[in-house]
This record gives sequence, structure tokens and C-alpha cells, in this order.
Amino acid sequence: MKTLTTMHRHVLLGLAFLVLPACAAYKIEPPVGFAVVSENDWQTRMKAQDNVGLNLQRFENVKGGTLAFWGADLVKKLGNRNYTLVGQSAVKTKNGQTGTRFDFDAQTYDTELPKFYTAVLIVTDEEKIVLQIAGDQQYAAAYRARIPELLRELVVRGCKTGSKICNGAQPPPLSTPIAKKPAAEPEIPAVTKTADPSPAQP
Amino acid sequence: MAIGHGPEPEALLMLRRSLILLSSLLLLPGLGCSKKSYAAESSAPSMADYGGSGGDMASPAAPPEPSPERAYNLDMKAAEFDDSSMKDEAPPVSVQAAPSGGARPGGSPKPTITGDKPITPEATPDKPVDDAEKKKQFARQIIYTAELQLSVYKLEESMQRAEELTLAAGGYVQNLSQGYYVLRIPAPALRGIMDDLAHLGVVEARSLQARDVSEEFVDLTTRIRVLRETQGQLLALLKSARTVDEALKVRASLDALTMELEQAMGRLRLLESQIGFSTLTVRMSLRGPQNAVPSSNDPFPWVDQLGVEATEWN
Repeated sequence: MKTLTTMHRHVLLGLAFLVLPACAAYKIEPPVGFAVVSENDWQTRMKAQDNVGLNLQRFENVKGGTLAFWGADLVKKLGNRNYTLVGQSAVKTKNGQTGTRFDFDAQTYDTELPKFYTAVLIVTDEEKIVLQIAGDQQYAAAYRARIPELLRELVVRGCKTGSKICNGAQPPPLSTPIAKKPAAEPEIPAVTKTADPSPAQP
Repeated sequence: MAIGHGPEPEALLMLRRSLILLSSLLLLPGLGCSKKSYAAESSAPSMADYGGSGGDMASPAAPPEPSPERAYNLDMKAAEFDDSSMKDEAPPVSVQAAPSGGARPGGSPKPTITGDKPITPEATPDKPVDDAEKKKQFARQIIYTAELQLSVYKLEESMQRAEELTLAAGGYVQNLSQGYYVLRIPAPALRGIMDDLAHLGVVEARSLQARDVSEEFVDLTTRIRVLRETQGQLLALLKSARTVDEALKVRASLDALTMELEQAMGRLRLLESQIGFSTLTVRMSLRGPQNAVPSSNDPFPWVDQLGVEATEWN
């Protein structure tokens, strides 16, 4: 009898370990054309052959952190980093969680390499989960069209029954400042030229 | 009356003849003088015109007589040319060696005086060279060293481009490893290359140092000149040495001096190379989450971990 009790305990413990991963905040299968580069409790990173990246990341939520609040925070801060919001829409995951999709064009500071960046923000009672996809601007149309397909692979957990956060309102239409060039870096003082050309000086 | 009239014309004739003779005698020296002066002066321009060395004012081979007007003009011209012809005759030493004593490329010691342009003391060929030498010697000599730190999206492509830009500017790669370059760039092109490289990625850090080596440069130049002069004197002493002992002593001094001279010249060459070619150190890294722009005083810095860098990073 005593032995059986111990066995039962072990079985229960084993079941608990099996069940735990299934309770992770999110779950996604690599979409066609993507392979997992790295994975840990907080993020899953994938890459496509054309260097387009797919990154699923989670952050702890705080009391009062709604989709509208974090959506505005995200857009404002990315706008400060020279990102331009070009699209905003409501989305749903495979298990019916609502979120907001933000499409950005990113013109980096010094480079003239245009990039695309899309972030899908889903906020639960426990966490905020961000699905990001980014790459060279030339691939924007092709990969943005695949976002619904990617969301069909995504399962997000962490909503309490009757949660106000999970069923919160969508953020109002947001915008970023028009893509601006950030303040120039401190200039190197101009070097005065001497009359004598040799030896040459800049 | 007839007798009186008879000898009168004869006497008159005689008188006329003697007057003519007298006047001709009086005139002749004058004519002779002008002739002589012309003959003497006409030789000067002719020598200048025909490239003569000048100075032979009493040349017997005078050209045909010109008109008096021409004689006058030539007279003036001769006066002008007098100086030039004298300058032409100046000893070659004064127009040969430059003060620095450096050998000139091409072998010709100095441009020779040609044409009929007079050489005034202000325009002596020595003067411009002298000025140029002095200018070079006292111009500001600066060594530039710069550093550039970039984060790029495409490391391989950016590294290749950096090398291309350097070679196109006439520079070269001194040191290369993954994401790390030491480039030698012609000094005038340094700023342009730095700007071009900045467009390959996002500039994380940039610096430029200038070291003024004018004093050292002038010191070295002067030292080399003095050493050369001393070397010449020692060589002359060596030639005039009478005993082996004397020659050996001079030789020892000469060897020590030559070594010192070589060291100074080596240092000067190094300085010139450093002045002419700036050193640019470039560090490139692949852009990643670490390059995201942090928001200052942000209570929710979660967005710092998002973005293209975090998503696209390899």
C-alpha cells in the first residue's frame, strides 16, 4: 500500500512535468520556409533563407497594462527610433486571442538600407507577447501577406476567465512622426588646410 | 676789271675748296665718332640676338651699318642688355646648386637662361626654389589618426565595400581580420572615406586625432642638412689625409656621421609616410539587439529589445 502511494506520487509528478510545457505562454510551429535559430523561455527566433527574421518574445505584464496602453507605448518608442507606422489592424491567434498588428517601415539612422518590420502585440493578464517579423524592404509585401498564416500557427495562453485585459479594447489609430533623420552625430572639427600641398593633409 | 675779275673766281674757287676741305676736316671726326659709337654698340644686341655670351663690345665683326635712328634705338637697347649680358657671364656656381644641396631629379642642376628676357636680381632662379624649400620646411606637418566603429546589417558586403573604397582612394589595407581593418588612406581623402564608410552601417563611435610634427620635421630636415655638409667636409679631409692613421681617424668619424645621417633620414621618411597616409582603424560588427537605441529614463524599456535588429539578427 505504501509502495503504491509512492508510485502514485511519482506518476503524478511525471504528469505534472508533461503538462507544464503545454502551459507555456505561447506555442508556435515554425512556418514553412522558417527554421528555429534559438529558443528559450522568453523568446523563439527563426530565420528564412532570405535573411528575414521571425521572433516571438514575451514580457511580463503589469497591473493596468492593456493592449491599448502597450500598443501606444510600442508605436511611440519605435517612432522615436525612426520607424514609420504604415498599417494597424486587429488580429486573432489560432486559439482566438485578440491582438493588434503594427506594420512599420524602418529607415535606419545612417544607412540607406530600407527595412520592413511588423509587430503583432497580444496582451494577456500575465504577459505581453510580441510576434515580430523583419527584413529587407524588398521582401515586405511577400512576408506581410503571410502574417495571417503565421498567426494561425500561434497559440497564446495566460488569460483568466472573464479577464478584462484579454478582452480589452483595441488601441485607437496610432501614428508615428514622419520619418526624420535623427540629430547628427557630433561633427569632427574641420581640419584647416595649409598652403603647402605637400605633404598632403586632409 | 677783267684782270681783277680773272683771278677772283680762281681765288674764290680756291677759297671754296679750302673751306670745303676745312669743313670736311671738321666734319670727319664727328662722323667718325658716330660711326665708331655705332660700330661698338651694334655688337651688343647682335650678341644677344644670336645667343652670344655678350661682353665683347669691341667685336670687329660688326654687322652692316643701320640707319642713325636704328643706331639710336640700339644704343638704348644695348644699355639695357648690358646688364643681362653681364648676368649671363655670372659664374655657374651662383645658378647651380640649391641651398638645400639636394640633387634635382632629371640631372639638370638649374634651368638655363634662354631667350632675351633680362634676369633681374629679384627674379634670380635661386629665389623661387629657396622659397619653396622654406615653405615646405615650415608648413604645418600633421599626422592624422582616426577610428570608426560601425554596426552593419551585412558584414561581409560592408567589409568588401570598405576595402574597395580604400583602394579607390589610393590607400591600402595594412591589417585585416574579421570586422577589423587598419587602413592607410591618403591624408586629403581621409574625411571623404570616413563619410563613405559611415554609410555602410550605423556609426557607433567616431574619433580623429591630429598630431602636429612640424617641429620634429623641421629639426630633422635641418639636422640632415648639417650632417650632409659635415659629411662633405669629412670626405674632403679624408682625401687630403697624409698618413694611414689620419685617414683611419677621419674614416671613423665619417662612419659614425653616416650612421647618424641614415637614422635621421629614416625617421624623416617615416614621418613623411605618416603625414602623407593617415591611419584609419575601422571596427565593424553585425547589428543586433545590443545596438537597439535605448530609451532614457524609460520605466518600461521592453521596446528596446524589439525592432529590426532584434528580429533580423543572426
